[in-house]
Amino acid sequence: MGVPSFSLAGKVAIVTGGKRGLGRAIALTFAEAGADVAVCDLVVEDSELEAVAKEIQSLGRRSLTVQVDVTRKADVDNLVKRVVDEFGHIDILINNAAILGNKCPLLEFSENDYDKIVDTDLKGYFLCSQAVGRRMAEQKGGNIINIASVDAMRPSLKSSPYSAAKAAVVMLTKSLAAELASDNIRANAIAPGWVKTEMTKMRWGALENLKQLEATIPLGRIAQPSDIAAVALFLASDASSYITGTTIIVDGGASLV
Amino acid sequence: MYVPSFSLAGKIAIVTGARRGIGKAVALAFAEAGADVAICDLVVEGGELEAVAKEIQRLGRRSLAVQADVTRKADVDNFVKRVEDEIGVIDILFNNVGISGGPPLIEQPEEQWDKFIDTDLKSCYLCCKAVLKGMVERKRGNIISVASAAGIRGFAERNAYNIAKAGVIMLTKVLARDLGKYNVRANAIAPTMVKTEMIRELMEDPQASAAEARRTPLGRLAEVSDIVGPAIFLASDASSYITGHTILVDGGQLA
Repeated sequence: MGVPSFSLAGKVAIVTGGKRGLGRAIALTFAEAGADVAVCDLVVEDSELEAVAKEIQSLGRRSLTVQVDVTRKADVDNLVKRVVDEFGHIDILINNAAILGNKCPLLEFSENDYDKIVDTDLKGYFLCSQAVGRRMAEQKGGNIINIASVDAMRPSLKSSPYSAAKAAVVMLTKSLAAELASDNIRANAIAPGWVKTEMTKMRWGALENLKQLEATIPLGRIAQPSDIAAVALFLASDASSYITGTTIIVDGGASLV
Repeated sequence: MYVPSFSLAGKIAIVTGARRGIGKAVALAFAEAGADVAICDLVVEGGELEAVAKEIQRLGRRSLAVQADVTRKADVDNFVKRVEDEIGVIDILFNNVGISGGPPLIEQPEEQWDKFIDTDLKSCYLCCKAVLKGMVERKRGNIISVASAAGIRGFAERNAYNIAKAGVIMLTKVLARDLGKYNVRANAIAPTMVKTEMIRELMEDPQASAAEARRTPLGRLAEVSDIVGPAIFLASDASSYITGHTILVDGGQLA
């Protein structure tokens, strides 16, 4: 009656960077909420991606694993084809595959390192949004969720390409929303603060570091991947039916300080 | 296991301005999600507020309807005390009271400026203050305020309304920053035009409504149900790492 549906029953989702961290958490949450989920990653030889797919299947949903370099258009087009061949449609795209890069002062960043970060973190999102967006436009329906970062609003020191790319993702999200709304496609972003994942481990990893860090956050802790996956579920569901083009900050209040 | 809880079972919520519109819809949805919900409004004649309370009870939850002018501290404190005495301690505050309208700022009389600031901003402050001491003591609480997209990118022909709503967004940040350590979250929802009595004039003007819909990428004005989803999300544990944030619910208009 009044309470909206948070179910994803009947939906098909793609999660890039799905073998660990945020991607894995989102994939499993979506599967439990009723979606079939295709998970992809750059590296598949270590069988971590296969493990996620097996867990999706143990939740009673269908899954597919695809090796994808999101910076290569051919890989991205192949991903879309494989998912459509397998599931018939694509309802949700989670642009999550991203790299942080090593800390480096802005004036010393190599062009090569800059390119690697911006290609994965911005161009990868753009290529996936285009390829999947075209399919969603044909279907006249879809939902794109981009994992950005609070670094998009206030840069982390010595991570200038990453921060710039994440800021661009916030803007890309608005373009997607504005241009694809008439095809009944919503697009939103999530800007997490600190999350307990492998990607950021070296920055919060040492216990003294972590305690100091958590003392600066109003809610007193860094996030678990499930905290971010919960927001992704809200954005993927009908409960967010009038929300598009926006970025939800999920940082325990860190950016308020 | 992975899916978060969107349930409000075991919680007690208060919703201001719950006689109609967004307040009524959110009060009923909170009840359906499992919360006991106490409601207040300036207007109780005509029985509309009492009818909402009865509807909440029909859903199997406890309720209480109280007349309150939320721009008056005594009324706010009395409402909160009655809820605490008759239902229990408050977990969720949904600040919904607000008024809108023209004329443009330079034409707005001082008395009307005061009325807008009092009703749209000060009332939020008074309600927050009334519940916060208890929330801080119990180390749990959740405040959700209805701001407006007008507080981010001012609506045309509005005035102190835009400014008061910007104030609600900042109030949300101030509370979140100060109270996070007590496990009290504060967030806001910023809609564009929502189809309620507040925009009756717009809804009755086909050209104006059509123009507003055209300005919106999703091609329509918001329904009250579009606000209920974000309200339930913010009230529930699913949003437990979100605080100090204002969720824009605008159909893409500000994109």
